[in-house]
This record gives sequence, C-alpha cells and structure tokens, in this order.
Amino acid sequence: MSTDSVLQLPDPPDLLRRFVETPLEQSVILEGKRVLVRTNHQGCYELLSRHAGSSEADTCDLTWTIVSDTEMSSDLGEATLMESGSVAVLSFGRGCFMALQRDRMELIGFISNSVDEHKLEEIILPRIRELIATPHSDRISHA
Amino acid sequence: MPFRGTLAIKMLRTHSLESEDLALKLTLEIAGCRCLFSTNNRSLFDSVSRWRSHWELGSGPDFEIRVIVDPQLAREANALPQFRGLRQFVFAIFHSRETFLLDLFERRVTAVVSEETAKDQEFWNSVLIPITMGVLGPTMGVAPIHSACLAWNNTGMLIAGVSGAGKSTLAVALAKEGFALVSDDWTYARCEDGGVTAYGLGVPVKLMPQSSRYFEELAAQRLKVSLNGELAFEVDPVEALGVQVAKRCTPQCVVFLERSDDDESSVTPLDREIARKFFYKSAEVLPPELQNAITGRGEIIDQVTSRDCWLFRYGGTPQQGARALRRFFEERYDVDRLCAAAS
Repeated sequence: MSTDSVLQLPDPPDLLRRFVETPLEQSVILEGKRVLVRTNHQGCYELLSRHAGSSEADTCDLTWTIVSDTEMSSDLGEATLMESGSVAVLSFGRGCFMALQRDRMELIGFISNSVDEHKLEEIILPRIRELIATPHSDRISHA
Repeated sequence: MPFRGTLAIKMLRTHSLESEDLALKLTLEIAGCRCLFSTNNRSLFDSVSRWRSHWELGSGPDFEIRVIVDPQLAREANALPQFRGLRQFVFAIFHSRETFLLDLFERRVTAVVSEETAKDQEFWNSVLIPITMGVLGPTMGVAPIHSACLAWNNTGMLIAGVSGAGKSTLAVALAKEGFALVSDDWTYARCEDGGVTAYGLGVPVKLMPQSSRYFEELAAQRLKVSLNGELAFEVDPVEALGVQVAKRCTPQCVVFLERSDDDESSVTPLDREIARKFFYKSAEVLPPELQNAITGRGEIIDQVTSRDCWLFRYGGTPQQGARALRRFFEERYDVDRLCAAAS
C-alpha cells in the first residue's frame, strides 16, 4: 500500500499571520494609562519611544499587539469605527485595522509595513489615543 | 501631549452595531447551526434568505451576524480580499473598505458594507457564509474538513487528497454517476444524534481550466479569478453540470485519492491514524487562546476518521475513476439495501 502522497502535506502556512513574532516591547504612558506595547513595526516602536512617557510599573492597564505586515497595502483609506458590545474595530482602508477588546483591555491589529512614521503619528495613533480615552458609552452617544 | 494629530485627520465614520440598533432580524440555519442575522437593510435579507429557518429566539443562536449597510460607502471593484487573525479575532477586508470582524469568543461577525455588497447574493452565499463557517465553526461544534462529499441517498463518502489530486473533478464525475454532490472542496462535519453529519454549503463547484477536457458543459462557461487568485471555472453544479446536490448526509467512509500513471484502479484500506493526521494537518492552526475550539475540532476529526478509511489509486479519466469507485461503494456499502432498511 502506498501512502506517500497522502502524507505529503506540508505544515499549514500561517495564512492569517497569527503567529508573527512581535519582539519589540516597551511600556509607555498614554492618556494616563500604562500601556504594554508589543510590535514588530520598527517605526511604531521608535515613535512611541520618542513621544510617549515610559512606564516603570510592573503592571499595565492596557496591552497593544501591533503586527507589521509586508503584504498589506499602504493605502490608508477613510477611518471607520465599528462598535459592538465591548469590541471596537478601527480600520483605515486596507492599510491598517485593529480591534480593541475593552473587557480584556487589549488592542490588537495589523499595520502595513509601508505606513511611515509620519502617517502613524498624524493619522493612526491619534485615533487610537481617542479610542482608549473615550468610554464606550460616550462614543456611542456621539455616533 | 503626544499623538494629537496636527495635520487634518481623515474623517472618522462611526457605526454602532448593537443588536438594538439593527431592527431587522432573520433566523438562519447554516450547517446545522442557528444564526441570528441582524441588519438595517431589507435587500440584505433577500441576499441571505436561502438560509432562512424558523427557530425560537428564546433558545439562543449558536452565532450572530450583525451588518450595517452604509449608503455612503462605495465598493471598490477588483480588490482581492485580505484576511488576518490574532487571538480570538479574524479580520476580513473585502472591496477595500468593507471590514468584517469575526470574533471567535463571542461567535459573532460584525461588518459595515455598501449597498452594492448588500445586494450581492453571490458574495454572501459563496464567500462570506463559507468563510464564517470555516472560521467560527470550530467554536460551535462544526469542523471544516478539507474534502469533497458525495451522498447516495443519505449514505455519504468523503473524498480527500492533497492539493491537485483531483477531488473536485472526481466529485463531479461521481455526481454524474448518480451520487448527489454535497460539497466539492470543504465539508462541514458536526456531531449530532450520536453520529456525524456532513454538511455542504451549496457553493459553486470550482474546477481547474483543464477540467473542460472531461466535462463538455464547461465549454459554455467562463473562467474567473477565484478567491485565492487562481483562474478556474466556478459553476452551479445543478445548472451548469446537470447533477444532483444534497445539503447533508451521514458519512460512512473516507476515501483518499492518489493518482497513478496507469489506467488501473484499486481501493485498499488506509490506516485511520494516517487519515486522522491528514485532517489535523490540513486544518488551520489555531492559537492557544482557542483551546476549546482546537479540542472540539479534534474530536470531530476523530469521529470522522473512525469511519472506514480507504486509499483509492486511479489513473485514466475522472469518469473511469468514478465508475470504479461507484462499483466499490455499491458493493461495499450495499447502499440500496441500507436505504431500504432505513426506510
């Protein structure tokens, strides 16, 4: 009995980029919150290092995991926010999308590797800052 | 204060997808799972109405889909979809600006779409719902199994194999031999009533361009770019190929395909541990946060591969392979007798 071809399955590719390493890690203070940031986006890491206050605390109020992706478009379209339950989704076209899980105080998302520091500083990070600063109930009432 | 955005910040469109904001509710049943579909747009109802099923809301859905249709949102044509996942979330971006979030903890899909997308039945039925079941399925007792599925009355046969082994082509050839086609690529297995039920989602059959050598009906069809960027025929099996379809069946066996260089065919027993490993390895790797889904999916794969597992080697045309496999299936499972006994 031949089973060679039946067994010839490679390890499944990480199509969703679930397991990309985010080795750059730092604790910063943003909007009065201690934020533990994990990323592989050099520009994001350096920007936060320069402009956000560093935190020496052992604990954090919020964790961010921001994955830089070389295959995503650099096009930052109009910003869109979806709120559903304790989850908020912030997206900018195909170039950046992230989800804030308020119950778990966790923000995760993907940014195109081509998004430069200037766009991060002027477009993306201000929206994230607003998102973490505004209580869910306030945001909905303004929608 | 950092990150105030001194330049003109792009406008922010805000949408609330709370259940009470979406007045239109529809109860659906997909692969045996109850779905509560909520939206603000009636044309979207028509697009998903084929899944409509009446069940009591009080018993609670297995999962939810919440969609806001934004009339000011423009759809961008010819943009390949993009999928990314982290922890319990999967992001799916279609048509450039239409973002779907699939939350595996909440078993919920949320999205904002254009009116054009709301009316696009093919998108909902052949793209979004299969993707939803593929992603959320393991969290609600449904395992996506990478195999075709054929049924003779209710007796099912799963057809598996490595990519390019010819699952879809053989599945269509078997359907032309009298089997009903449940699925040609992904089958959704669910443990119910003490056994396993295999579901299809009624999506178009995807056949590679060279399949037109075996099925003359394809000459009248156009090739199109499929979701993964491949050029293929994607056709309605009933309308384009004249075969029967079925929504579900009870699988009795799993057949793994292996092409050979000669015209001979053979069916030999396959160690079910090999079959089990194949399905484990062909499943998406999930993160540790989703351990319950990983365990549940594994249990269903174990159930599926506790059926008879066979290795089917064949050369020649898909029609020759289908005839040989049909003879084997009839002799082995004596399906007419089984059906008579069941009735």
